[in-house]
Amino acid sequence: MMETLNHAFHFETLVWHWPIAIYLFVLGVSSGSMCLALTIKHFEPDKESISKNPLVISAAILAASMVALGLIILVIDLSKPLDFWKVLVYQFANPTSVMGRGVTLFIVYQVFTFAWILTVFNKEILAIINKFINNQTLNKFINTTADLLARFSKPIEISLLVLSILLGVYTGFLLSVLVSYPLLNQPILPLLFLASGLSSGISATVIFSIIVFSAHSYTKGMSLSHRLETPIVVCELILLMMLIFGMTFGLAAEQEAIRVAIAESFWAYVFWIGVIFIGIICPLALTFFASDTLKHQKSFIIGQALLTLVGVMSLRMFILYAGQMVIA
Amino acid sequence: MKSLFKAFGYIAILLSSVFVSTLSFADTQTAPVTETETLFTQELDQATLLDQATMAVLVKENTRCIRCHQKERLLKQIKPITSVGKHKSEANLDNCTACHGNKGDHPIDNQVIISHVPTDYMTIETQNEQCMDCHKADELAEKEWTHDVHEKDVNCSSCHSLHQEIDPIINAEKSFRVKLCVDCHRDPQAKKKLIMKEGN
Amino acid sequence: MDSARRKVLLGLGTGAIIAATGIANANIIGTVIIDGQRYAMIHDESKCIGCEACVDACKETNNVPDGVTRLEIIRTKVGDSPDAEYSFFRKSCQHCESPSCVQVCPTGASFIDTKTGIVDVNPDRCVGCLYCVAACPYKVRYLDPVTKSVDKCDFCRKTKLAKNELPACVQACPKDALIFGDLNDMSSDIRAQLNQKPTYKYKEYLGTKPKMFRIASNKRGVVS
Repeated sequence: MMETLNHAFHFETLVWHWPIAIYLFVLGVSSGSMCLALTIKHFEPDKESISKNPLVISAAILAASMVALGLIILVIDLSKPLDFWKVLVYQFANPTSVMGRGVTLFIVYQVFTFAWILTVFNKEILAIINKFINNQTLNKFINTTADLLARFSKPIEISLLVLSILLGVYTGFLLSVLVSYPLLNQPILPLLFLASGLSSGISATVIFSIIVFSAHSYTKGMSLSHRLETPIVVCELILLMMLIFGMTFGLAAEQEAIRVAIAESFWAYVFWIGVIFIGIICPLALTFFASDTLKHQKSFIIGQALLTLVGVMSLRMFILYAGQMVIA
Repeated sequence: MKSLFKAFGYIAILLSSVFVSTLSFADTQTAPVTETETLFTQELDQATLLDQATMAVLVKENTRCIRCHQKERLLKQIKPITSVGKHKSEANLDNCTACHGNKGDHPIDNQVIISHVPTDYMTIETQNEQCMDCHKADELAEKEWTHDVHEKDVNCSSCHSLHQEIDPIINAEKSFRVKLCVDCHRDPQAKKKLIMKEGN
Repeated sequence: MDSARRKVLLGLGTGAIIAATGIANANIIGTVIIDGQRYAMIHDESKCIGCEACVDACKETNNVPDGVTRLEIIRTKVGDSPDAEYSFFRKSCQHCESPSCVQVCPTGASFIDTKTGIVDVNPDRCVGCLYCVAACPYKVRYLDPVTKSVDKCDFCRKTKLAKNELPACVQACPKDALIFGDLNDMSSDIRAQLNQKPTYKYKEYLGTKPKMFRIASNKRGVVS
């Protein structure tokens, strides 16, 4: 068994290791959280209470921090980490590079994220800053900027929604341009990563809000989150089945790749138990069969969200590792 | 029902934490696998040991080989034989006959001895078969694949020098081996010389 | 014109400019100057004896560190010892005309040298993200443990070709199984060989347009 486990993580054609899987995961969480925050704000338009809504606060924090975390992981994983600035400076040297376009996307996404956070949490940010520095000019500057940005609130939110979705699909595109690996070179991958990113973002936001900001099942936006989760998870399942069916009836290399991935390697266990059972079937079963009283308990909500997160992390690891096992 | 779901949830979380913990294997190093080398696996069993009489003849023959060949044979420019390296056999008194065949009427009849150089009276394949009696083709191929393609056309002695303490080609550096291949294969004339030697 | 229509036109115009520059830029990556050379190589598997003199010469000429190699000869055994036959396959950079490695590089460190058609790596630009190593379907790129940049066969562009000599592997081969030349030069040796002998290319169906041609081995085939 040790042999199989060792082989699962060390094989000749493996290039990208688990840090990249974590990077893919956190980017998905960021895009999903941002989408959730924008959706909640859209359906609960009370301006004043939005900045105090625990879900929106959690989502904003996760959206901003997870993408920064992802970039830090990426930089550390480079074989020349101190040269990371070259990716920023030379990002337009190769317009066809998905990774280069991703770097551009990160910058624009972060700018818009911070702009949106400033408009929504203007007063709260000011309060926090004033605890450390009490400078009238600084306060005035922040207020003026926030008000200026608030005038473009609608375009900023629409752009941010588009950018979040782009971030969600970007992780899929990053892998799907790899012609060398049949399991990764699939057109459905970006959509699959978007769906799993959205579900991981929602789950992470829910957990974060309950633990850190004392949210509960009656918090505004909580029921919306749950009503969004179910169709997204079902979509994820459908997309996975489409991937498997498509490859099973595809080219020889695709047939071998999917066979090795879901039937012959250690990663087959990770897929069926981690991705399908823990990540999709358990949460769905809990949604459909749990009693109402149970569903309103904090531990139940956190538990169900955790299962989804484990499922999404398993999916990232599975796709990354099993995907690199077979060459085209 | 409630407790059932609670149990279900706990089991699911337990399973997932087990899986997450297997991620710790992501950085384990594979231990290098050492291969033990055995080329000559034929065990000397009692049945193959020759009887006393035959042994006596062989010992006598081998003594006579050494008596002449320990000095330089000026007529044919054969250098003195001072060592048989790994093939030394005290039982057969340095084992000339095992590789060169029985003495017979040599040197009067010069065609009975296996000389391990290209000749026109004994094919290279026949000469190499003397070596292959002990060194099996499968084992040779496993140790060094080039044995397969040279066994029938090239004398074993072209690459192996047995009349010295250490045969330089055993466990030689890659660059040495590459040079050996190149030297022979690059020059078509050299290759011909090795396969078709005039006379003895 | 009312503001809604103005906005639509502005959006379409911007979109058109972005699309046009995108397409134009994409073409630049793959285009080679017409007057330039398109270096290619033939590996004649019917002549190759698997001596690996090419591997040795490459390592020495290009200072390839231990543990990695630019060039590998993969040996296939057909039949049983002692009657076995061997065929040899050269695994090295194909210098594709539509290279996956160049398409994915975020900094442009992996590039096609337009003068020679050789796919090369600029080690100063390379940050070691390994995207190109993952993207190459032939798996011929490696991370140099000394420079920490990605490297691979460059047809001796910086060593032998710079001195107007043939690549080290071509010079080292005792059987003349490697033929190197410019595909744009109609009178070159490589053109002559390509006109005479049937050749095949590895993984052509992936659309990479490799420039490593192979003359198939004449050893009897395997039916598995």
